[in-house]
Amino acid sequence: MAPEVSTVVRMKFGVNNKGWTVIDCSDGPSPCAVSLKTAVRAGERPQVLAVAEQAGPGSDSDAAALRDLMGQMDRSLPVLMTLARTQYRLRVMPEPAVPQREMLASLRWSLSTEGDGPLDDIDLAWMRIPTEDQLPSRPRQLYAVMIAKAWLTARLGAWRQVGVRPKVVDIRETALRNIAGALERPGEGLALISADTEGVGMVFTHQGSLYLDRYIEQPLAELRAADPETRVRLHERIALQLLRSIDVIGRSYPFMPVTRVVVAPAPEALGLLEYLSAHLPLTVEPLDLNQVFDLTHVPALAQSPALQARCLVPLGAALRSSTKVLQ
Amino acid sequence: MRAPVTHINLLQRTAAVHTVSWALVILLSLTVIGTVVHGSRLRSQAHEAIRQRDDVAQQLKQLQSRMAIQTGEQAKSAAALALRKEADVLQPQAQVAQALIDAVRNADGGRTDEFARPLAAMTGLNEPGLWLTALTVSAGGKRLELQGEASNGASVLRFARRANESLQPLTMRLDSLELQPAAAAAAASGAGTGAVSFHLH
Repeated sequence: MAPEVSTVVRMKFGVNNKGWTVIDCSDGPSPCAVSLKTAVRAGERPQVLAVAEQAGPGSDSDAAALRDLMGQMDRSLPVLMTLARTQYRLRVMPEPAVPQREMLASLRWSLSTEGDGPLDDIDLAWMRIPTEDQLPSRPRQLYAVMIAKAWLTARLGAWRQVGVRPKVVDIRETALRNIAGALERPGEGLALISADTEGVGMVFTHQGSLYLDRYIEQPLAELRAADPETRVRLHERIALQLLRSIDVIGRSYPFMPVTRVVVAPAPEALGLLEYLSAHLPLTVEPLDLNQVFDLTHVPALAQSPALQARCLVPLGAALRSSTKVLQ
Repeated sequence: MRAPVTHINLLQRTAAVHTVSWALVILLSLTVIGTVVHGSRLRSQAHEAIRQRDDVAQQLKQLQSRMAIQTGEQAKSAAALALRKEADVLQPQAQVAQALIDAVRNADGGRTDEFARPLAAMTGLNEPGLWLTALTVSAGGKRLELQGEASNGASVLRFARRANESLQPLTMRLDSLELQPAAAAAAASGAGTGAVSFHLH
């Protein structure tokens, strides 16, 4: 059992400090939503107030399904939408040497010169990969996130029809980064492995910031149907990708040694945690959501690894109002 | 100390900016509307206050003029009362003077000293509400008769007593008094008013 991380939750002034209701637009068949109350005192954990998963196949743009989902959530909290992985593009770029207020325009120009299509039709966001303190001579990099403006406008319009008006649109990598950041110990680099129905994602964080992300397309159905020998080969592929990524981290960011891998609950227990624990020369631990969240109000979530796997992204996205301070 | 973590929001550059702009516009509009409404209220309150002030000033002016009129009337009434009192006081003296004139007309020539002394004694007497209608000196100034009217009998008695006191140095005395209700007053009112006519000798 991993030791608990000592945390202090610091609230930011001028931002939403109450919590969030997060609706996850996944690529999978079951839209999911969570309501989370932000912790306000030291030693408290953010409290999960409600969790709902739309039963059976459906579309998260379906008005009735969305209304039903929101009916089970805390409507007093601001709404955050997490996008499906296919709905946006995430890429690492050199950070333009321009003032912050000109960063978006500069990024647009950089992307247009690289043949990324008509950039007037996309919305753009960015976040820095912080290396200026540890590697001041190294060229800075950042993550750029791109989304088709028309798609987002249409989706928001459909949601507005049923009274749902998101205040934030976020992505899966930052949601998983938030959870990994909450689990980090001082000075370490942490790898968080999470599996969904379409593949296995990895995020590598240090001091709460995202430094590297990887996604291996590996449909759950294929893994489920595989014979033991094939399943081992598939797990081996994931482990190899993980080791390569850790090697990249070691060479690119030597100040954040990744010595611990945390494996999130999977939709089905198909042996990934056991395989990694047995074959990696690293500490591999299962993710215990109780370390990060107070689940006393949602016993169904506390008892179901499958539901935890489904709600991992919205839970992580809801952590955006809390800042963990390592002691 | 760890650096603050960056959170992205893909909505910021689509709707959020407009939301902030609209919020600012609405806030500005509300501020302007509030200022206008508040200003107009203040203006109407000021107008109302001025109107009330003018009303009060008008009422004060009317009150002052009414008070001046009343003061004038009171002054007139007081003057009339004073005049009446003065007339009451002067009337007996006028009666005495008239009686004296009549007596002088009826007196014997060259013997003015004989009736001058009782007349002089009588002129010093003054009884409010009593006036003389006849004064007769006879018997060489030894006999005096007085006739008159008074508002009541008590006035006549006081007058008679004081007349005797004045006549005492002249060794004269009024011994007889006849009183009867004043004929004119009784006839006018049809009932007794207390006024009497008298005859002293």
